[in-house]
Amino acid sequence: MNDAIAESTWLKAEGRYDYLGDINVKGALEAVLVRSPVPHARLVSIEVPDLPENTFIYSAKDIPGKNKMAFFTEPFPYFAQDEIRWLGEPVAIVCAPDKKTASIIAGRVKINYEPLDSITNFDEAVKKRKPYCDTTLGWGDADAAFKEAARVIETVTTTGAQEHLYLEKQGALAVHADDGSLTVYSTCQGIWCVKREAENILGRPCDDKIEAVLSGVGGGFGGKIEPPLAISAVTALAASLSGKPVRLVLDPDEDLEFTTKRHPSKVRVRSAIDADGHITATESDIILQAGGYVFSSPYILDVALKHANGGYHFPAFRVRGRTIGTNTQLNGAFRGFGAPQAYMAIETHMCRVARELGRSALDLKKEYLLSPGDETVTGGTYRDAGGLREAVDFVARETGYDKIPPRRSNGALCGRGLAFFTFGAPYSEDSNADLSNRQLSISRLEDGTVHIESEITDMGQGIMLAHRKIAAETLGLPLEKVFLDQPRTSGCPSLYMTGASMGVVCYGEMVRRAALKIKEYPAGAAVSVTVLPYQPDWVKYDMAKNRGDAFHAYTFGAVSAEAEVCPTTGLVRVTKLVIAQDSGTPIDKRQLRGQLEGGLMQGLGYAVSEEFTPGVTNRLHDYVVPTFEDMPEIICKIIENHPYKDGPFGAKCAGEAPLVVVGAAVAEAVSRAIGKEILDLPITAEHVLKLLRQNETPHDR
Amino acid sequence: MREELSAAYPKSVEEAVLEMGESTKAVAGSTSFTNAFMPHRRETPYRKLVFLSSVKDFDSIARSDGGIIIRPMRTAASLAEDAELPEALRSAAASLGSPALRNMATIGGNIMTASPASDLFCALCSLDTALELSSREGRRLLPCDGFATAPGRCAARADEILTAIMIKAPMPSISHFIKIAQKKTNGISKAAAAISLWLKDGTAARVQIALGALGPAVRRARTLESAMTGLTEKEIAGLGRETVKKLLAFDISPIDDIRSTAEYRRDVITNAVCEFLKRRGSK
Repeated sequence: MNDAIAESTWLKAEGRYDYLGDINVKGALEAVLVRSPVPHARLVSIEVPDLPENTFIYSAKDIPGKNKMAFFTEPFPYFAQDEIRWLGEPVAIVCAPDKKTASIIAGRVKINYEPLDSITNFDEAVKKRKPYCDTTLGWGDADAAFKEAARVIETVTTTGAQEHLYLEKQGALAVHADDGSLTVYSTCQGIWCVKREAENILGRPCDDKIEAVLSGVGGGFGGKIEPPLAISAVTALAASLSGKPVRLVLDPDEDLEFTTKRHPSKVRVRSAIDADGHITATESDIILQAGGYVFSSPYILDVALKHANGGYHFPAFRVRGRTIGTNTQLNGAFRGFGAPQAYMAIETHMCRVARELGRSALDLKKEYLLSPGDETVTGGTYRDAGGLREAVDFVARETGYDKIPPRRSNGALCGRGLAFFTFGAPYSEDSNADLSNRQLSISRLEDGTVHIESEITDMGQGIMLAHRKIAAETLGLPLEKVFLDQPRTSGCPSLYMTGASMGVVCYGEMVRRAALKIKEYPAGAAVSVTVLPYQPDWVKYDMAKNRGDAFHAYTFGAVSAEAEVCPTTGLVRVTKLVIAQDSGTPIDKRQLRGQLEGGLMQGLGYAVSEEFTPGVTNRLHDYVVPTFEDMPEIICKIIENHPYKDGPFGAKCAGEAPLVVVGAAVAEAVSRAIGKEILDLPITAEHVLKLLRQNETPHDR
Repeated sequence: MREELSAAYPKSVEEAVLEMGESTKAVAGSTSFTNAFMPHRRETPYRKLVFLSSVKDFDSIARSDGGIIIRPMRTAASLAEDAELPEALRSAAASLGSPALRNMATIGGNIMTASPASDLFCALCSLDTALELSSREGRRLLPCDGFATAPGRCAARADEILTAIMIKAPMPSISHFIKIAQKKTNGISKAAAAISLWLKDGTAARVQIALGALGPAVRRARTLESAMTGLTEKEIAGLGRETVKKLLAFDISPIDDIRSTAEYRRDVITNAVCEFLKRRGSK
């Protein structure tokens, strides 16, 4: 298919695209959250100051429905009640005619509490706290292999908390009408879940008078999966109780400080090596730092576990995963879920094994590269390895991985690194699951126009365009004849969150199948078709036991990096990033390229500078995100010759995969530049300079 | 409810000083001020803002045999493009924030915020700079060096505004600015140094080195300066890393903070200064 440009692209470029803050509602109150000033405490009481006219405050005691988020099975309150479990946990919402007044009143709310022991440090929590979840997966007899091993090689890697930094901050707007109906506008990754939360907090289950509408989403990256649920719910509560329209938009700094982050990790990987220098078993122990509640951490851990073996097959493999809570911000969904942490661990480990065995890391990695028919950690099967080997060869060649980098005239030390990935998506549903509540419809009107009614969320990744292209191609129509509006719950059935790289493959295939059915009807006839999620027959998955094919398919690829290290300052500058990715047959190459470049840059920040530390890097000028000046030369290779037969027109997932190994590739590049192993992300100048000083002979100093 | 802020837009220095007093803040390019007191983030301690952008000729620059007089509203962007300025000042201006920020940020604001990481102020301290402060009571001149005393604190009184930055001639023979920041754009100094050498007959007749983000305020490296004075560039280059580190240690008191560690700051400034001196010495 030819590249196309979405209508919204022009609107965005010209500043005419409407975001939540652009919606004008007469008489709307502006809201501010009152947050806990302490990480852990018993909440005794909330003292409310005198309220000026038209100013309202609501807390847990005002909730007519449940003070437990509907989306999670584990408890997660909208407002702290009895116990405060994380620094910044919302305690109340204040609404006033303007934001300044609301902020001042919020500042005067007094929270009376009795402090409880708190842990904000990850290492301390690992020692003292029981994990929220603890899961082990794998294949083969790892114990026997370790028992018989001639030697054991072990690495411990850590990664930091990363912020999504979507440009449009979190927010919601709720408008209450006299007839009791309530419309919730939300910037989120799934409006049906927002509707369910509004119903839940108000105690009005399945109430048709509650509608959720997606406002334009200015970036998500997974960060608009969980937080909007709570934000929309408390905004709906305030609007419903006050009878006034209420808008809650987080300040940029507040958003940075208190919304979800990528889980920090600590991963220990061990390999059993036999007398001939072969790996006989590998085991991985992954610990992710979750926040004050379990929240979504099991899902993120699950993805980490399923990518713990990287792109490798070992004779035996075992992975144990835990999430451990600290009294900090809630860590949650982020592009790649737990995969970047898992890849940093396994790729770095393989480099260590190679070094200890006196081999080239690339040769060793290639030797254990997985092949079609190999087992997955859940007992499923890698059906193919797509363009994996082709990708590895391409990126190795493009950066000159095996060559010694030429001396830099600026005196910088230069190194090259390479890592590769298999990224599973879409998720499999349990083979016996009832998916009838997840739907997508397509209608064709008498005028020949086609309308997709779908919950799909476009947060800038171009999914609306992709779905319109799929429908247009299937029906043989020009793109202009296919329409897909911003979703509202009254206008589309419930599908699910847009995320986890499900958009193109899983939902896109639904679009194709619905369009195919439309085609069966005679032209000119008005027709509407509804389809359910498509899961290929050969996917057999038992979700309760976590056995079988956990994903429909895998996206394969490799990233290589070239980094320069300044010996004077220890600063790392990535000068080149190369990616080759097999996403099946692309639906739109330009959009795919956007995902590849964007993923690399977000991965670059994760690798060298981004780390959120509560109370420390909680302002944008201290949380260091790369800018265009830091952008290296980027080479993107789209490997197109491995169509996925169960994806729409051969497409596989694209958006998350490009990020997941950038950290590992950059770490190897820096390691090779300075001759010292890099085990921690981000790679700070402070750490690198310390390592460089270890290299110095006493004479130099 | 709190009282609203009032704003003044003086047309001249005379008008401006009449507006100054307790709970009053003079605002230049407003880049730091806006960041510190974003609307509805916190209540400002001020009752009145005096916007200096309306003062006539406040963004001008004048050169004479006696030196250069820069008015406080001169922006970082215009300083960065001014080829006739000493290199340290030009390069410090060019390293500041992002293009948009440089268009707004002023030299006066950078001095008066008294941040230990103020790059322009650091560069000025390496030059022979005096600051002119004006109030209802008249004008006084203070040396740039020592003007800032602690983060956010300086020698100016609440009723004073900065009206001129005077760099006395002769300009140094060698002027250089070192900035260590995590990123090129919008990077805030982890450590900075501005180095000036006035050469006479092949030796450094006078040396001024100012250090940024290495103590509670920008400060001169007086011990290292004395050690370098009277030496040739080759001799200076031969001082050696350990010597430079020891000499610097007398005048710095780096800390661990959000942007870096004390250890890193000590090491990196030593490395960067030595590297520059070595490069000069080999010429």
